[in-house]
Amino acid sequence: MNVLAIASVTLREILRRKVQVNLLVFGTLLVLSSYVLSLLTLGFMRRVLADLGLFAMQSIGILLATFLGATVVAGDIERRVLYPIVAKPVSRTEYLIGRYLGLAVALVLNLAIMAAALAAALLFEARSLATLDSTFFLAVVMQGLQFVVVAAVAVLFSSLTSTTLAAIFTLSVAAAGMLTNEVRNLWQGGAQWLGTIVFYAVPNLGALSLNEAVVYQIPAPPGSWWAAAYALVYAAMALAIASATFERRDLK
Amino acid sequence: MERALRLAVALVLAAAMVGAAGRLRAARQKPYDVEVVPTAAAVRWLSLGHALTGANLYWLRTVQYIGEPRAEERGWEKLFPLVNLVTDLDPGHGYAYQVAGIVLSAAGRIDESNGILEKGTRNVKNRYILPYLRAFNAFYHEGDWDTAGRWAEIAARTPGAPAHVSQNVLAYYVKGQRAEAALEFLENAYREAEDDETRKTLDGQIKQAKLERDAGKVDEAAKRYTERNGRWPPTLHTLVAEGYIDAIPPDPYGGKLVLGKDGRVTSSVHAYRLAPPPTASELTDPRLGPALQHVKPASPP
Repeated sequence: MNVLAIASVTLREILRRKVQVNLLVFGTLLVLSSYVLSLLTLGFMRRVLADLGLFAMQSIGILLATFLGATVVAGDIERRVLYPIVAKPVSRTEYLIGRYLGLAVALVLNLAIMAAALAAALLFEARSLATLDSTFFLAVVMQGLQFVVVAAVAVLFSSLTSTTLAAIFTLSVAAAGMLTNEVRNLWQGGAQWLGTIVFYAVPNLGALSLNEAVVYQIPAPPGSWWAAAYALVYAAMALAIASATFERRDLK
Repeated sequence: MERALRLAVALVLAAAMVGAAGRLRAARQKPYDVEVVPTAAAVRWLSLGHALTGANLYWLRTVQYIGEPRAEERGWEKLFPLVNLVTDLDPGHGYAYQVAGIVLSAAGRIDESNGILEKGTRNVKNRYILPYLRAFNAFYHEGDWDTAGRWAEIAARTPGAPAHVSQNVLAYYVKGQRAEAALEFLENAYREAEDDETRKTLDGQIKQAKLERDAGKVDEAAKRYTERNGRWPPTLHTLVAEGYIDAIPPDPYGGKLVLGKDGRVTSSVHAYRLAPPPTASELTDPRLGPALQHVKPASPP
């Protein structure tokens, strides 16, 4: 019950924040501008529209998850609003999970708005409902999972350090997460074990991207469900670490 | 008053900025060019693993490069590296191979056109037009009917290839009618094109092929006239009057066919004619041999 109440307050707080509104407006405009860029191509317009639209959604979503997630705990400590909450019969873990759930719902709402803008652009281009196939919706769901993972990492750092450092660390992890496959492919030879450690430690956000399947209108790869399960487990693991460290953190 | 002054200063600065911008190199209508084409690995890292997005952004640059109205003045040096990059990042981009193959071929960069079409045939298994265009390059630009036949066979076996592909190729292969076969290939490629820029390039090639076909027939008549009379015909109307041809064919470029100084018939508004593929005797000619080592005889076996 406490968790839901904190999540509800967090959601309302985030939806009122200027950074959230500005990034959402910018992201939606970026998605719609993909249509203008697609007019410049030769032949198949959908490939540019769908890919750049999904890329814009992903970039803005990850920025939102980073900047909002970095402040949900560290911001409360810096503004000293955390103290009256922990003085009440609410465990720190409940507080952390409530803040995370509010953040996750806000990110899903933002994603839904940007996805609706991209779907409208795709419909306008194709003049057919067939353009919105199941792969498109699955790709949006997978992007949502990317945001959920990045938000969990942001909450983890936010519970450990200041907002600025949490934002920097989260952005670094998100960037590394997009390059995980490249690192593993490149890191061959003597210190191959180092590449393997990086592969398992950093969230593999590339595995959660279905842009290619959307562009070519082919079914999602068979391993997509494993990738989805991996994302949920990774987010839960990050929250568990955050909870364990936050419970023991001295807030004075 | 103070507000008006500030506005005036802003307007003066805006005018100065526009004046300075007009003097920039880019503003002087320089033909669109790409200074540096990075490697696929560099784009993968810089785009944080978004190879497909990198491919699409470089594809948009490639489209601007192809569509530049003064492309002939600039040259086509960067087209192959650009499309090679796009297709390294996104090997399934079938239309990139198709457009680049056509434009490079029309620009006379046959080796590069062949390279990109062969890469496309390897990577995209359901686009028959790629080996089909490779066959076109082989017989039309290189006079190599054996190679053309092999690529046409690959095209005919590709899923979705029209039934006429193998029939046409075989028929022309046997007859050795190069211009007629070229027209058939080009008109089919025109039907497969998905944009106006590629259609424009193909339209130019179709006109050239029609000129080659029609002017070639008149060339033959002029040759027979010369063999019989010991001199070139004074005008093409002489060939009609003396029954060598029924009529002078229309010029596909909108002008009229005329007898060129080299004895070959050409258009009055488009003097360019393709060099005929070397014959077997030309290939064995010690003066020409080294330059033609890579070319095979024009006549079918």
